[in-house]
Amino acid sequence: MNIIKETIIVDTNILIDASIAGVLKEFVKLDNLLISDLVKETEINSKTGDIVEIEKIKVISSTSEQIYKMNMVTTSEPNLTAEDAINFILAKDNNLVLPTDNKRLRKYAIRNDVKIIGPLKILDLMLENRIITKKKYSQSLIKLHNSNNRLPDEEIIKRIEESYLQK
Amino acid sequence: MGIGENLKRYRLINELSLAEVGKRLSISPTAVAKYEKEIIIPDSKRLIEFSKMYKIPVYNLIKSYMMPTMKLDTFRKKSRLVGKKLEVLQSIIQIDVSKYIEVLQLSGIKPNYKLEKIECNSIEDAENVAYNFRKKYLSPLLPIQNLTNILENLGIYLISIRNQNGMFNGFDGISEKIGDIPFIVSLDIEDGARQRFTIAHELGHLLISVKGNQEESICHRFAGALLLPKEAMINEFGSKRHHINFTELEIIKNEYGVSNQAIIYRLRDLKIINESTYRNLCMLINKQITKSNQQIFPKEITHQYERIVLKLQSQEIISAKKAAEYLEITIDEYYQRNNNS
Repeated sequence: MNIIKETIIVDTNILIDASIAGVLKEFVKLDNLLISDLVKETEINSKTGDIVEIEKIKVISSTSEQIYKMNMVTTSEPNLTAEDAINFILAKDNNLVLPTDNKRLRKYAIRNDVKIIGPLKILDLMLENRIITKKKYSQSLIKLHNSNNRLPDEEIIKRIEESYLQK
Repeated sequence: MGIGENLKRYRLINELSLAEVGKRLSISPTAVAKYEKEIIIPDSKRLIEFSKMYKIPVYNLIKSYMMPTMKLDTFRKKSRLVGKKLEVLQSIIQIDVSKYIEVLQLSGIKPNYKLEKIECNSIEDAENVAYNFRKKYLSPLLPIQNLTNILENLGIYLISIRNQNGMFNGFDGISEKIGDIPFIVSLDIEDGARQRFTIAHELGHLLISVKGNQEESICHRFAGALLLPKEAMINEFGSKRHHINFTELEIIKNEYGVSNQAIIYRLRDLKIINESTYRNLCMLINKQITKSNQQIFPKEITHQYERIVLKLQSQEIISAKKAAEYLEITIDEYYQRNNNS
């Protein structure tokens, strides 16, 4: 099951968000997810989310040329992290979609013709594609809201209200 | 600084030869050298192998910083810190300084260091510089409770370098102004008395200009005079002493945060004790050290860099991931520490 045509390159935050929202199991069932071996090696552990579930995501490696380009991005864009640079280059070279809520990465990606998607949009699409139920969707939003999450509160509240109105 | 230099730095920190690394990765030493010279760039699989061997996050090998041009000319080093170890230390200092500058630039903090260099031609001049510094910014006689805080309030940035498996033993500290921003870099040691003396000594390098080759001894005198002011020492010990009890030294050490050795050195400089008493006290201190019953004065810890990074993140100038990267922790550690996600 897919929610968008393109493949998504997942980052640590999206996995943490999915885990907090209680939809990690459903999220990793999507066919078109990839995770960089570098990100997996460095960031992913039991605190990120259920490792057994995360293990289901297909792993993508980077070539020497991509590593070189990642290194260049970390120098030219000090606002971006090494993980941002890794995922950006993989997304650009493989026409992948970059999930991010980071304003700077978002701007940089758009400027360089890389498609992006917000974490809340992913949740919306999971509902639209009936990967999660309406009830689970509302519960996920409440969990994100209660977790003092860095995701925009206004956006979460708006969705919670809408989901109740639709009931 | 690119991937090759990162690879070389971590190999040297791990004290491995090209051959040893080659053997562990089943490649030739020449191939390892080619990676370090960036004739070959590793792919992600090879990079992960390197990171596992060097026991570091793989990001540390990918990440590059715009390195500041540093003169590194006030290196307080002993002869044993030379060659490769010195090279590694210099590159670590440059990375930490460049990260700090990057963070300061992002935060929009403008340098507010206004102290002018003062010319010193003699040891006595150093005594005056310390006296005037205390008069202007501190109490003239009281012990300095937290030197780090005082210097940070004056616009000096302090960096503490981790001693990688004792690799940098022999390095005490360094100070340098990069553009308008003064930095004092010292080794992260448990002995706070020694650490404070090094910081005071490096402050001397920032404040004092010396013609000739007396700079080290002048800065040493400045540090002693700053931490142990003349009047205070006379009040504490009297103007002449022939014998001092070890417990008395320990009390002053804990009050002023200066080592016993530095105290008796200072007392000799001030002629409160003579050469013979100084030598007897040196023997007494050494004897007590071997009994290992000396109390260690707690080290000072700077939180300024961490505070700026946390502020940048809370103001959404940088992402949480970037903050974690600046603090050299993983993103989940960052969330845990700051109690949110």
